Amino acid sequence: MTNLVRLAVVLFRGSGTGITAGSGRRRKRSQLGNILLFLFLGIYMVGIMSASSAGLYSLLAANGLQDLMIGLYLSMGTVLVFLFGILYVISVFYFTGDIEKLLPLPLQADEIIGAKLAVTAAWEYLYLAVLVLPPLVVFGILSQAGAGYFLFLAGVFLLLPVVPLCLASMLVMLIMRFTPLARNKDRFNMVSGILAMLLALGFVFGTQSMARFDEMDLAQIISAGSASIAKLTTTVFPGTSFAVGALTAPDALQQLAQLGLLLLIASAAVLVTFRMARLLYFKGVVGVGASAARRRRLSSAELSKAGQGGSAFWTYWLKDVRILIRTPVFFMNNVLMNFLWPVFFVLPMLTSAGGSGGSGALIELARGALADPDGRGAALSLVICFVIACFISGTNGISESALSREGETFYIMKIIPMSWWRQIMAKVTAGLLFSLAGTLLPLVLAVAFLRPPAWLALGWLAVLPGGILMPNLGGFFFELFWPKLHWEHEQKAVKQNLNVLYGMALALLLAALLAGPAVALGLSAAGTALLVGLGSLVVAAAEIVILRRILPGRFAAIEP
Amino acid sequence: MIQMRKVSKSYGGAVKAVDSIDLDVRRGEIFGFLGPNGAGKTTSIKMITGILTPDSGDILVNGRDIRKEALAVKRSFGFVPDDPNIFPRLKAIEYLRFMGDIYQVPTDRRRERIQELTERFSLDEALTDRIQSYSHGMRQKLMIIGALLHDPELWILDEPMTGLDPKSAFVLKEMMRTQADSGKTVFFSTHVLDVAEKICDRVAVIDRGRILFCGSIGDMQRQFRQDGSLETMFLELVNHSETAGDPA
Ligand SMILES: Nc1ncnc2c1ncn2[C@@H]1O[C@H](COP(=O)(O)OP(=O)(O)OP(=O)(O)O)[C@@H](O)[C@H]1O
Ligand SMILES: [Mg+2]
Repeated sequence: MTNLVRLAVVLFRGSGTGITAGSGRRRKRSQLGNILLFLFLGIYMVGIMSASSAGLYSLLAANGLQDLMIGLYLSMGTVLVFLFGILYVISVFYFTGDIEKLLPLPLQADEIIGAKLAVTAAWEYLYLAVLVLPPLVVFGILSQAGAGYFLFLAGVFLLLPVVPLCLASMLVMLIMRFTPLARNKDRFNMVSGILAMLLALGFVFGTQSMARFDEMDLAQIISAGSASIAKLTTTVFPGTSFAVGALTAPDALQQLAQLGLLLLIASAAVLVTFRMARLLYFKGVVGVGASAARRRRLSSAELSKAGQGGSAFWTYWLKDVRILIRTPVFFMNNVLMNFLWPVFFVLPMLTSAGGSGGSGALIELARGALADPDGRGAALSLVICFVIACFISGTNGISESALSREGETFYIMKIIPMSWWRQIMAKVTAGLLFSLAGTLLPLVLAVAFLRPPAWLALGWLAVLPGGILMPNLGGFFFELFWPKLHWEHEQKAVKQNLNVLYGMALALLLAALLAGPAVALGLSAAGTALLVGLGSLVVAAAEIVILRRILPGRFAAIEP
Repeated sequence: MIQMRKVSKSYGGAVKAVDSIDLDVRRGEIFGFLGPNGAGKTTSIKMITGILTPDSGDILVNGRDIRKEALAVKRSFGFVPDDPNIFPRLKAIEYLRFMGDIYQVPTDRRRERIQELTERFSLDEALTDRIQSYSHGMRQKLMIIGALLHDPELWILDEPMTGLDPKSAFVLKEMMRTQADSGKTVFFSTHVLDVAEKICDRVAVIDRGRILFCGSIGDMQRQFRQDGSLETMFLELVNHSETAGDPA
């Protein structure tokens, strides 16, 4: 146990985002700046989540359905922890650089896993604190709940991530131990990542179809209370229903009982995970990072294919895309992340709504609001679409780490006969591709479920180009100043790289600067599309001009 | 082919890694760049290839300044660094295709070159594997093949012999010779004095960022008025500079 704690402390120090980088006086100053940056990002997200949940509250309260919120946000939180958990666990348990140093030490598997779990949990709490806690606090305030509610909320907050995180760990350890994937690393990262996503989708849709079994109408739902909904949405993750119960049960004693059950099930999950770690971890982790060599001669077809000339730009682009997809850390953090947010935001919404009357009512409300060309709903949906595009493009960290990902191979950028500008554009284009894919996914889901009129769907498409270009171009900017080229492990290039955070902050700031006025001025749908769609393209053009101007000087100054 | 004029470079600090050096590498020769560890060889090569920018001085490659005509200069040389860092997640054949496209090597020429070079360096059996699975020496050979794919008129190699097995080293030396005989230029750094003695037309000895000697082995023997091996002369040069250059 003491080993576990010691190890956790060491790992935690090494897992920061580099907030404490630098030295001397500069270090103090940059530290302050970074803390401010974190605060900005945190407050920004808390603000968005609080405002949107307050909106949802009034919408639901009008129909007496406000208790649904608790089940909704707790199941969102659970899904969030589970999905991030899968990604984190794969990379933290199996693909970080420290593993090769830890394995020879006299440590038990469960000590390593425990320490790594603690580090992962810390990140999960951070996400929950920003994304899920604010709506629940808003609920408490708006429903004028007493101090008891907030006390139980604290308990629920602490216990909520334990079960989904443990489930994620067990799932990953099983996959790594027993599938051929673990032996053939070539395909592993893609397959397991996608598998995890599909699994999560399966869970969510599974619960949804369960919900279809008891077709209840609106009145029944209200009378049955939120508990029945919560049970439906949370069957998959034992514990979440207790979490809901701890917040919604009619009296304190029952709430306490529910919290106790949650504690019990969380402890059981931890114990089982540790036991499983002893059985599975070492056998799964050995040999990770090796790559299968087949040693065979090139067929003449392959040779003639390789001999075929292609455009330098697209070859360069393809090289970047390949590296993004084939490097597990990049794949988890930069590629899958694009598709994870949509799953997290959209699906729980649809499920907790899905099939049964509650959701039906919500979707009907939304459809009505969108159909009116002069109504606020259509204009707001354009803003939301734009912000989602900015958010996904700004948080995937692809353009934001375009140079850092090169690491020791950066010098190649300097010696090949391709202009720096074209190389950079090829890299940004890789970012554009994944941002576009990530943005289209929730858009398609929204079109499928909300069935907006055609003119509105076209409007959503119209705000995308700027919403994707602006953050990708802006995000790259910081790489020209502080590229992180010296790393032993890929993790440092994308996760512990402040440029990613700076890029994210810039993207969110620019999005707010364009979207804010559109909302504040109460513009019509057409006006909104014009302001955010065209405005972001103008910003993107300005970014191109600035980048072109500073590129030669900055690039020459980067000396690997 | 390469002209360096009063080129200096320091890495931020007070110590000059390269201190006002002049160097001329002529067309059609094999030029060896010798010196002890930390002498400034890699730093000089990085400046010639445009990876580093000199603090002062001028470098011309084939009469062109890389700062002004970057793409033309970069197209004219092939460079193999001392550390074989290439994209580990690509397959070797993908890397070669990448280099072929970037240097715009015509299709039929490329196929021929890949086949010929990979066979000579015995890499033809491993082309479909990830570079990740390559040993140090295999990576180095792959870098050499990639750098020579476009048949550049100037080869710049930083310690190309370290890590190569005897057969590959022999192949490389042979290729350097035929290359120079056909009018192209080879510029390489090395610690292996035997190699330098055997194949170089001319050598330069650098220590602490300064050129101590530049000329043919024969010139060096005349200067030392002895028939000594390159090794003894090299040690004498470097020892002499150490006692002379020490301020303390
Ligand atoms: N990235 C760097 N940062 C700071 N100093 C450096 C860096 N690279 C080299 N130096 C210093 O510059 C000097 C010249 O180094 P250089 O790498 O050019 O030597 P070298 O002749 O190639 O040596 P070797 O034979 O060991 O490869 C050395 O004193 C070295 O310490
Ligand atoms: Mg060197």
